[in-house]
Amino acid sequence: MLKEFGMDKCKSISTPFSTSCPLDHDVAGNSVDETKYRGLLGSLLYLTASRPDIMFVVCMCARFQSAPKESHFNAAKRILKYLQGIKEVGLWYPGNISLSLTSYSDLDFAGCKIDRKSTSGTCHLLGSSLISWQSKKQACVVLSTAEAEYIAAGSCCAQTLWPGKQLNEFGILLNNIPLLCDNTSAINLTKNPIMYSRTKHIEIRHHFLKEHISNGKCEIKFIGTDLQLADLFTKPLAKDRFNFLLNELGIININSPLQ
Amino acid sequence: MTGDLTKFTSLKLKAEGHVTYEDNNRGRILGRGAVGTGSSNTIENVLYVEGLRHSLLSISQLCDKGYKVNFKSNGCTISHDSSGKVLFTGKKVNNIYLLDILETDYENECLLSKSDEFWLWHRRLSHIHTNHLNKLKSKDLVSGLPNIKFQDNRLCYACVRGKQIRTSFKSKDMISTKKPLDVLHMDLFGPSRVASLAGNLYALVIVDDYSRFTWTLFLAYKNDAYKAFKKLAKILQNENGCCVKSIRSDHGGEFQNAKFERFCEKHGISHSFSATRTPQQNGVVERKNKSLEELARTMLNESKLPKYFWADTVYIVAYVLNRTLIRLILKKTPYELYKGRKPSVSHLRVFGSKCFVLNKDKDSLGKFDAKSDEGIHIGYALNGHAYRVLNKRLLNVEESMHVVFDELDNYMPKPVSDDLECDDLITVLHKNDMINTDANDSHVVKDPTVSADLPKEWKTPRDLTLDNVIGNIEKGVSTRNSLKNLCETMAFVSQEEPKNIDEPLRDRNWILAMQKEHNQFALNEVWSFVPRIPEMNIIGTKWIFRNKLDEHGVIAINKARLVAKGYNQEEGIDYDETYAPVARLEAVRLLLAFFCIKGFKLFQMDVKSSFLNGYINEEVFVSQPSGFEDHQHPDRVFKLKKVLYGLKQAPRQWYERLSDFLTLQGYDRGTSDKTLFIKRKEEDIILVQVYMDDIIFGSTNEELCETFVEIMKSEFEMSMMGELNYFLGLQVK
Repeated sequence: MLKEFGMDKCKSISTPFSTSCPLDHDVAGNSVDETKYRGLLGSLLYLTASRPDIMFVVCMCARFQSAPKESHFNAAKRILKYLQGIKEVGLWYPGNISLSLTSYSDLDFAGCKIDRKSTSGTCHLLGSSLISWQSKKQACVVLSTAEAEYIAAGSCCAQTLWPGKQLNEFGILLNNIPLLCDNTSAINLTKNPIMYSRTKHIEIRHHFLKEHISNGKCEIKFIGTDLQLADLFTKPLAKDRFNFLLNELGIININSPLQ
Repeated sequence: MTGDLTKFTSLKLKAEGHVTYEDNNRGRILGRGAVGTGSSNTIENVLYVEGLRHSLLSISQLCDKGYKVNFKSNGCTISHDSSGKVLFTGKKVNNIYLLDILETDYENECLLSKSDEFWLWHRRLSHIHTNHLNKLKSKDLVSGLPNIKFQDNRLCYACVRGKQIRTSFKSKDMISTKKPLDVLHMDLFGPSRVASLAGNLYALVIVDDYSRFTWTLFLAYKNDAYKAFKKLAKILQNENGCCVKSIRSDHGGEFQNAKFERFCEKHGISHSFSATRTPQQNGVVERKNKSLEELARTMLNESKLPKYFWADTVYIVAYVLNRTLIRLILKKTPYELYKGRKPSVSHLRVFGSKCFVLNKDKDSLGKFDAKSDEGIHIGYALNGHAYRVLNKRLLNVEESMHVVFDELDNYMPKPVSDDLECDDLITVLHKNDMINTDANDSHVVKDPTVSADLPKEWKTPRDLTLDNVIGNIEKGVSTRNSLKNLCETMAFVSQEEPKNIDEPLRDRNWILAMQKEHNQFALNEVWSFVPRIPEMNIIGTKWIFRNKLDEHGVIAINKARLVAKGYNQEEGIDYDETYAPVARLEAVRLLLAFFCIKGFKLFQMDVKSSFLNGYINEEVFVSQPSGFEDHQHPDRVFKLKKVLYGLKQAPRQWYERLSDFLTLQGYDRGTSDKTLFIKRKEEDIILVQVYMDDIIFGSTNEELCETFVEIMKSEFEMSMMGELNYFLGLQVK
């Protein structure tokens, strides 16, 4: 793929996105060939099926397909440069560990500079194997981080139920699937069905989570921001943090000696 | 004489004098004319006298003119003295004989003229020709025909409408031009089915009227005719020192356009056209086309060279005809008439004959290397005294004077065979090619050795203009070394994915791939042959060529697949449901993670041409695949029994077939994921994940896996890929 876009000889770079300048519409920027940009994005989106590390940034770039400018194209090219550095990365599925399903949910509050919507990221681990991940801009604007986290956790919960059900068919019954969230107010929201003045506007559909927690399908738990693995899918990160998360998620170089 | 003007049938007014009556009154004569009822019953020289109240007829003058007047008691008759034919009869009233000239003589009335009678008989006898009618009558072959002479003095419109033929074109027995370039005849023939080496499809033939000297120009497109003509006209005018005066062509768009008009206007050339749909008026060049094509065809077929040499042969024929034809009337060759000197034919050689070209310092030769290359003679140099030779070693066309010919080598009458039975597909294809290109001589079997020697790509000498470069310049230079590298890897699989059907038909690997696919069809009983009915919605088919890569990205197989053009299908007629479930990638990953944790092995397998296994519910007809047409029944179509790739219902039908089969075998379909099939046996479990034709399965017990493989193999044609390593383009280790 690098070859196709003339990037096979580029220098490599350690992270796929820059932390300093987030993308916006860039109305003033120079336009680039839409077809080429979309072609590149299409290839990258396919790649996200096996490369969760670029999930966030590819989704980010994909939002600008209608009128791509040079800055967007540069961001996309940066992904290619990153890929050049670590081509040999794969998901590591270790054997012989406990069979448990864990979900992480996180968000970047008002991360989108254009319409101030939040980005939620979720991932699900079976044992320590990453099986499913998601990076999604939320559909509505929220007023507080608690609310956003609550929504993110809701969609995460919905995602969690499916592998739970699937595993059930494999013959393993899992209840109280831990859903790890780094916002205590959001957790409290799920536990106490009280209408606070600041939360009463939350739409009914987001209370989906509440029900599943009350009937014991899953269980919401607090996790420190440092250990929040879904961070990877919500915001641009610095190199150290990025690498740490990759390691934790089992995204490792398949050619390196087993860790 | 009379005073009644109405009695005259013709009258010439002229004052001539007077008549004196018996009472000495005088009447003035105003004119003279004829009185009567018809041409036979007229009295001429009747005087028109002013004021005369009775008409008087002079007996003496009648008698002078040769009539006989016979007076009887009740009347009188006027008759011809010689024949005795009665012209008028008069009555005696009150002692005066009265003659009523205008009283019609019924006995003599002509109801039908002889001329009318002829036309009647012409029509009665179904419009037969006048001469024929005359013959019937004169030889007395039929009875009942009236005794008249049939004269063709009038046009019978019905005859014209029914029998009109083209005007015949008489050949000229004189020369209407005085010197070369007075009139040039032009015409275009083509497109040829095969492009010539230079990529040309048309030939523009220009013939000089006076000398019949012929120029042939080869064009890739019709609209190049103007450019080619302009170039030639300039050269000819320069060469001869005189101008082209007139050109003649048909109404073809390549001649009748604004560019041509402007050019003719600028150079004072009159451009005359033959009448529409009358190529006879452009006969000079049309006849020349015939000669060129016939002779070129003869040469090409005798030499058994590929058809793309047609332009070379046409050029040679024109070259030879210019030197050998005898101009009628002038009794000289066109060459002599045009150039003014006798042509020489001593340098002509047989087209397509084997020859040897001296290898002069083209590449460094070793001391004991062969000095010449073998070649094929394909013509004479356009400009200069040399032969054009196809060098078999270098695979290019070169012009050289240092050539030794073996003209007798090629001339061996080959046995003629029209045996069309072939077991090898390639030979069939070769033959089809032949039958397509020249339907008339399908019984001449192409000698494969000649064409097999010939290259598919061409190199060109460096010092030629861009126009003459054969092949794609953008490809860059391919050296023999690089070609060799390519060839080494190309030995077993074809590296390129062909875009159309013609390319793979030349490549053995692709033909094998296509044959394999075709065999699959027969094996799966995909279709049945049915005659075409106009109401059918026929769906076209197309070959798709793909190179399948292995996990290292190296081409492993050439895969040819026949697909139906599903976009022509109509909903409700050709298909109804199209949805088919596929596994989510998450599900695949979950399965992987699960088995990793449990520590069991996963296997994958692949169903060969899986979609061909799905049964079709609707009646769908497809056309015959190109390259595999049945020549006996070209108008038949296939009625599908099973699904073809590209049909809208293909994935669904396959999924249904597989899921039906697996449920029958005691597998449960997953409740949330419909592509997951599970079978439990006591403590063990087998999980089968289906992603269309790729199947991943794993079990806690190896036995279960083995039985699964067996039942699958019994039902479908499978290719067992073994342990899971490469799935949906994802590499798994």
